[in-house]
Amino acid sequence: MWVEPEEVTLNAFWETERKSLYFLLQRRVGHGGQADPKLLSFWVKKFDSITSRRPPPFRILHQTPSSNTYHQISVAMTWGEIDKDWSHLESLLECDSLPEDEVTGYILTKIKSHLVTGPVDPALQNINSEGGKTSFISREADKFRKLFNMPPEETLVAVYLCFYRKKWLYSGTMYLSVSHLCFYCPSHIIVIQWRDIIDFYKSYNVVITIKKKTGKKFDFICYQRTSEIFASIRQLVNLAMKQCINETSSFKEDSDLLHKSSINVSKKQTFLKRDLDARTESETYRLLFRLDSSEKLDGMITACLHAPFNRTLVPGVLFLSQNYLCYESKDKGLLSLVLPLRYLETAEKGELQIGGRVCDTNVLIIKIPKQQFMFTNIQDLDFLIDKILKLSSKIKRAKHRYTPFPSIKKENNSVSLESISDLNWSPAPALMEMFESEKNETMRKLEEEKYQFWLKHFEHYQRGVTMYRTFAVGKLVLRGIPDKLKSELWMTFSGATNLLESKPGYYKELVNRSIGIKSTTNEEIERDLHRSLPEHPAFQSDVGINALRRVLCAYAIRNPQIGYCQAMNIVASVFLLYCSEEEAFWLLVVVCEHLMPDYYNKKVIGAIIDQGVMDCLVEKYFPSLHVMLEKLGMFSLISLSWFLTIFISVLNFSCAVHVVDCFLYGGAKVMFQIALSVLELNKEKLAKCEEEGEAIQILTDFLIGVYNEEDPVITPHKHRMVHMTISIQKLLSMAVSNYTEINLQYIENLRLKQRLKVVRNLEDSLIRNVVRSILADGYFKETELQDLLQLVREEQMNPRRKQPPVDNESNDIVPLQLPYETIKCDFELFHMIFTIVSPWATTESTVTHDIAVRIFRLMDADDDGYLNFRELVSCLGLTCSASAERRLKLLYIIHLPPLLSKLDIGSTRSLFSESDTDVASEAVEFFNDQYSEQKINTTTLTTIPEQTNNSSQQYSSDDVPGDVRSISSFRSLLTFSSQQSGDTKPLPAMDQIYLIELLHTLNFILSKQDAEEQNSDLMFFVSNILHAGKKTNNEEIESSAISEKKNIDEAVQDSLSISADLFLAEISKYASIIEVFNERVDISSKISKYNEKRFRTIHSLSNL
Amino acid sequence: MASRRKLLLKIIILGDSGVGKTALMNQYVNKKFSNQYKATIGADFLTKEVMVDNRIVTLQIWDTAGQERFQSLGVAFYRGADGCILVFDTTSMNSFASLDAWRDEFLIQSSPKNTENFPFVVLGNKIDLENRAVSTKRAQKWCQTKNNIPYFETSAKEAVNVEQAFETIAKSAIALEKEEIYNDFPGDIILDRDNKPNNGAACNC
Repeated sequence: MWVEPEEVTLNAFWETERKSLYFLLQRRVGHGGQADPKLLSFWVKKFDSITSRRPPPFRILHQTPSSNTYHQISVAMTWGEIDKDWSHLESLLECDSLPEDEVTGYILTKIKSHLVTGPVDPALQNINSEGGKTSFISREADKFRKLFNMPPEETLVAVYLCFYRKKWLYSGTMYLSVSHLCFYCPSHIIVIQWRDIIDFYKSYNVVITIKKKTGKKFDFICYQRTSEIFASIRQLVNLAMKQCINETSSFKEDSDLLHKSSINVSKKQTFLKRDLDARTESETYRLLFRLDSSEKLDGMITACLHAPFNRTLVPGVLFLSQNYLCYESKDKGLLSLVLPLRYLETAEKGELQIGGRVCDTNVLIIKIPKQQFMFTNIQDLDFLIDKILKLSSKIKRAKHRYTPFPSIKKENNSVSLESISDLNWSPAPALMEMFESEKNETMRKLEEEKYQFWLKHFEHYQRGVTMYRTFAVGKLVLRGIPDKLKSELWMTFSGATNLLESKPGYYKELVNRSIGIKSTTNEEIERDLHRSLPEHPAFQSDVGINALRRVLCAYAIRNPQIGYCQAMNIVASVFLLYCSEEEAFWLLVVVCEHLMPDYYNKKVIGAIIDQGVMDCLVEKYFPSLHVMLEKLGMFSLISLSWFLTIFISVLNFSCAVHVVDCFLYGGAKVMFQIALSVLELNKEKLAKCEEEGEAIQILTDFLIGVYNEEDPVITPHKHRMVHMTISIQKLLSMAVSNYTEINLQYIENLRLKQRLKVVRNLEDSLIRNVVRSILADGYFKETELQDLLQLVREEQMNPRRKQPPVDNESNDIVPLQLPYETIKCDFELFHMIFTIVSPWATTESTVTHDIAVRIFRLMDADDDGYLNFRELVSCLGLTCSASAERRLKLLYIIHLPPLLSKLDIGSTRSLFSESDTDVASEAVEFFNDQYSEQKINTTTLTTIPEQTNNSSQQYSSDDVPGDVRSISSFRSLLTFSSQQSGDTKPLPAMDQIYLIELLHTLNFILSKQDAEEQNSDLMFFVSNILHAGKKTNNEEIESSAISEKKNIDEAVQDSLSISADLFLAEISKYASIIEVFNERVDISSKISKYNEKRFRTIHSLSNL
Repeated sequence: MASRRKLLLKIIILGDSGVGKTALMNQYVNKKFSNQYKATIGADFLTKEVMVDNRIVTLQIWDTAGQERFQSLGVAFYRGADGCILVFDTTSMNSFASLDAWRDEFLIQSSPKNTENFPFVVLGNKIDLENRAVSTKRAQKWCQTKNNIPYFETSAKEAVNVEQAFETIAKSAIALEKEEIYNDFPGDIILDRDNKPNNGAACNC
């Protein structure tokens, strides 16, 4: 039993039994030793009984090297127990070779860890089964939130005891939550966001190293459940990265996760953790069998499949999920099976006969139309059958099984006459049937031969989704799929059949919805329709073009995250040649969402990730070539067009189609295998290159020279000379056989690692670009802008925040966005940042809020309820770093109508009750000569923060035109004041009620300063400005009243009014006030202060 | 000194998708026009040897993907560029409006030594089409504000102004190259002092 290490001295009471470099195993004299001196034994026993100490008779001491310090670390009642601890210690030191002076620290902390992990473990296990609400977990979650000042939405996933290594080992607790890794021990508090991690790895089996983007490394030593901890970290990092990639979907994914966890609480393992595990398992399962992304794994069980084609029993695993029963042999790749439950007729217990002899009576027999499958050696057969039947009863049965077997009947060719916006479209059949390519006799014969092979194969292994998938299929695919069978087999292998059958009518509905939509996406599609496979006659005719348009537009509606990405047109048009329109659509779905995840999204992230994967693979297989290619910066150049178009755009057509065969069968790994082979074949040539262009030339020439043995006529290339290089058959078989280690799981692992880097790099370059693009505005320094942007990005990622709407459906066709335009900030976020940063703000004050609202509205140029980053920076810059004159101008402007309305004032201090129009009129008149009687819609202003979307619509529908115009003129006065001050009109004068508000705000801003001088200055200023206002105003009123024949009395009511110039002139007399407005605020320090506060911790654990 | 070395100039063509970048490149290099191009994925390039200022220069012309989402991948292609051709479609206002972003993005990503004088040329393509949307005046005005970028109205289809445009960018790229050589080796200037007036026009070496 391990004990708290305690320093002891050696004495005669103990007999050393064993000794090693660092340890002593001792036995208390008088306990079992034959050779103990009798007297001593007697005395020791006597002593023990008197003091009633009765120490356990065995102990282990640790000796600090080259000293006489000993620590007792373990005690035991029996020899067996102590012997166990001893051997543990021995094994411990075997794996870690430490410098002598660190040994003691290491061992002692380690022993402590054994002590602490002991009691926690069972606790963790028991909590949920006990079902108590104030369980260990919820207590830990509470503790976690308090320790690290986390918001309640931050869900805790798991808690582990471990060590933080930093010169010394610190024993503490590691908390893993949905977006953070935290560590607490009294001397160290560590908070790391998953998004900030660029690398993590495990070494020596127990050390988990986390590398942050800043380059800082954290080592955690976990002696227990290391792999579980590592797996959790891995899951959470991956989840975080995926959220970063699909910024908008993060929220949805999160809630799904939380929802699911709440269902599972009653189950044994830890809450969210279990859920994450299930996710990972389901993902692997889906990848393995190419199932839809909604499929969740229910359970697995070992079983043997009876393979009728060679009458053997193949051991493997059965997987059951809501809609499928799948099987994979233990020997990976040997045999697999996908049985959609929608086909299921019966699942029952039966017997298996081989050669007339009953082999087994405990057999699961699954019957689907025309086929049956038998599984043996299943442990809990009745339970399984029950489960299968239960699941299948929930499924809507497939009305009719989608039968690809009879070739799709030729439809009348009149389809070609439809027009674009015609709702009466009918789906096009496979285009090859209409535009058959010419084939000579030998080619036809070869085709027929291949076809016969496949038919024979079907006889043995069945046909369609439920075929027995064996090595033999792989070999046949490698030889190429005959044109007649392409659609059927593409659909089967890729899993697209399952999607199509489970959603009948879906495609048609999407197409109907897509008709007539005018959007950027559809415009992009339109532009590329004739640039997909222009050389093929099918796409020189309307039939092909219209079908392609429908498929792409329908997809854009299905998946707005992707919309349309160039290269999809090329891939889709190849599908359309061999498959019907609907089939082509579902193949495109499989490619975009399963086989090439995130490839085509708005930042082409998947493709960038796979470039990184390619980079790793080249480094592994051809290290010297890797050095050279890296020097030329080639990875980003080569793989992009290769992967994005599945080699279609770089190979000649008949070869490319062959690659597509292999790709849809083998998945993404095929692309890597081919790419590696291409590099391998050109290794020598590439090694001599000195310049990227040369290297690319070599590869391009090589690829266009690849020919098809069966179709040896090479189509001449548009603008290059073609020399035959290698046959596609050879290239493919080389690719598949030389790089067998590259399998699905391997690629997924590499992708995960790359995802970290790519997301980080994208974020960095986004920040860099945005900052550079607005640096010239001159408000802040580069580092300040970086900090600010970082803060905005972090807050945007925060799951608490509403995501800005993605305007995919918008009908506007917009030009390319500038970098800063992509960063959007709603009022809530603006208010938060404004409060953190601006000298005009204090927390929780209505004045701050009012100022923020008005500045927000002033700067929101497109009036959509969002500020882009540049606008945000202007807002902050104008209060933090601009000259006093500009800051005061801003202050003046935000107290003018329409930004400040009388209604606002009325609501706070009901001083005035007159109609608003007079006051507003002056401002409106100032900008708009045709003054209209319309009332200013004041209510909208107050509603900005609450409902940005609604209010922005309100503006546009019933706003006063002069209103918007005046705001924009105000804005240009401020932002370009330095350049264009000469030719702009002066600011309108301000009336009393507004002036009072202004002075009120001024007082508020200055009151933050706590200085006598300013307060007294302000008093003087107020009295002076009021006086001056009265004086000038009276003159003006008289003159204007005369000219406009207005009632003088009426005019005098608002008797006080001052001009902007007067305001500025007066205030500039007070140096102390000006000084306040001239003070340059360092926003970086404010932000870092805020960040510190965010993770502020409560240091005394006793409070918890 | 530099002239004896074979001179390779890397020219990048940028602009929205479908403005005719590939067609312009092919018209210039192969003197051919086709309306059967696939959309460019990633990037592609062609080379052409030309005589500029009595020197043989190899132009390596890089044609890039125009869709916005590929823009962030530009870094790799922009690396070491000597000149940049910005293309818009005279029948599409949007493609013209995007020029700003393309130019900014290019300067940010490639970060050339000399941002102010980096060789650009702007091409308004497809002037053979009827439905013109961007006026010459407007395009010229934009070019003036951007440090007087040379502007050409081209038709890749009818080979109008294509040759001239590429020659212009080649010339200004060479001019900048020379300038940089002198900046890099300030010592040389003293040795060459006598020849200096000639350097701008032709190379004497």
